[in-house]
Amino acid sequence: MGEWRSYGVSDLLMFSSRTWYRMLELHNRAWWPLQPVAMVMGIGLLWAINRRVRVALRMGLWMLGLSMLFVAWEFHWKRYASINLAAPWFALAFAIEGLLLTALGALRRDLTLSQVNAAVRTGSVLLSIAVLLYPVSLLMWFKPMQQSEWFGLAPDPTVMATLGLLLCLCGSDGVRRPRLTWTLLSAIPLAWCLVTGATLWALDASDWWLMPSVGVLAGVVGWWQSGLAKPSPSAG
Amino acid sequence: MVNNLQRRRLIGLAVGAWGAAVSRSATGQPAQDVLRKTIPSSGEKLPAIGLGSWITFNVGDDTMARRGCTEVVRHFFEDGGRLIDCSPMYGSSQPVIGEALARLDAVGRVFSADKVWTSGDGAAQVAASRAHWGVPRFDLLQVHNLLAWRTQLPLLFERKRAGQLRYVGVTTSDGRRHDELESIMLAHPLDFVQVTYNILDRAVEQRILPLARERGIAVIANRPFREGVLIRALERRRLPAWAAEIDCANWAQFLLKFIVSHPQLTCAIPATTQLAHVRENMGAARGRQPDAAMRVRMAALVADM
Repeated sequence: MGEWRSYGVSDLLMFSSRTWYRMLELHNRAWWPLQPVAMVMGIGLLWAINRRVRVALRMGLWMLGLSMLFVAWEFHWKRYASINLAAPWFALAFAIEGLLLTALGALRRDLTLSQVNAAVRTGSVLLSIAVLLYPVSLLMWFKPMQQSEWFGLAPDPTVMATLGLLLCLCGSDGVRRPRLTWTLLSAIPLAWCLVTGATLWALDASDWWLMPSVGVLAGVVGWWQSGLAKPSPSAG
Repeated sequence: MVNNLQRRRLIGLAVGAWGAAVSRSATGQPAQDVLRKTIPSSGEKLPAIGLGSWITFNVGDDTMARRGCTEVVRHFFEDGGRLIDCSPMYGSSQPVIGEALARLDAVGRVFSADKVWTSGDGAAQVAASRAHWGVPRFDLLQVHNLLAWRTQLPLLFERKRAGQLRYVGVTTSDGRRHDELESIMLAHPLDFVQVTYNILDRAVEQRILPLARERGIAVIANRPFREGVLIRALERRRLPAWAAEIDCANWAQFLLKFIVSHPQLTCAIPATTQLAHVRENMGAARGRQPDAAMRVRMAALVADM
């Protein structure tokens, strides 16, 4: 036990910053032009949520669920696993999250946005950042655009968008146990915020604080607002 | 099949020996003039600077980065290096080394040092590692960070007895579990131990290195630059003029010469992705080496900084 305490995060880091960003670049190159397609779909989701379109939340759950499954397989399993022994576990976690999101979207046909509370506002902001700003945020850190991370293809913006959507669920009807639903669905994305923050910190990346901050914000607002949400008696 | 492998191994060794004999280093120095230290259990001489692969060779499927690693290995051999160190814990480093050896046709030149890092099936892991490297057998296998050493060490000794392995060792890093390491060194006929040793991390000088001398165990020094932190800190300072007395042209050589000049140290294993750094590192195995008085002076300088 004492020995484990002598290990720091940097002792567990197996790859260099150069290898990490080069992997993102190769991932982007392999899937181009899926990036702008995913962005357009994300913009569509944002529009639907802002317009309170009836199927917006279900559409979002399907979109994020499939994105999580895609990231699990194409990023974590097929790419990240070649440089990180823990990546197969990340793939499993993302796959579970993807299945949970798609299952909720499939089973709950009555999920509609009924109110615009603090959770929905925060969720919309996170979704907007994930879809629109995250890919160009690299320019702020003077990194090339080829290495940018895109919603739907890379883990960080996909997790940020997922947390945004889960916050929007706090303003919806059709969830029988809002606090339990929030806790179950947010556990993996919140854990990822910690993992990616620690990884980027060990890589000496200047934006290491971003995802942990998103995690804290989403965690606090989600826990608070899901406790205030009125359970839907008719929901299953 | 075995005969074929042995024949290929012999041909590889012959070609490698010829290559080493006629080759000159990338710096124009003859590859033979590097400092060689003796492995006590066999009397075999080993170049005092090896090549680590932690982080630097874990580049995944990136073809361009893999080519870069191959060039690092090429320059390492051309400058007279032999020992390459790896572990199943290092991600894609094993296949990257294997690809480099195959491209350079250098299986016969390398002193292959790998590790066992599992509490499960050690034999299966060794077989997988060997397939990644593409070598007929490993020169050295060590139990990585003493993980399940009671299970894995007998396996390695068994392989050595069967002629499937030349040397057996154990590793630790950053000063961890030295008491346990000592007891293993006392109880088992190890050929090698690998420990952290550099100009600032010198705990092994107290008990581990004297015990290694007493037991006839070769010592590999890992983390010679504290994963680059030492180099980055020192690069801002001017190399002292008296470093020329021991033929140091840069801080890397200053730090490495301090390590390999310890009488009990066999090999230091700096890792790099830069060809220029390979040359710098291998330069530490050439020219004059510090004596005891100079080592005190070197350590005092860095401690003061």
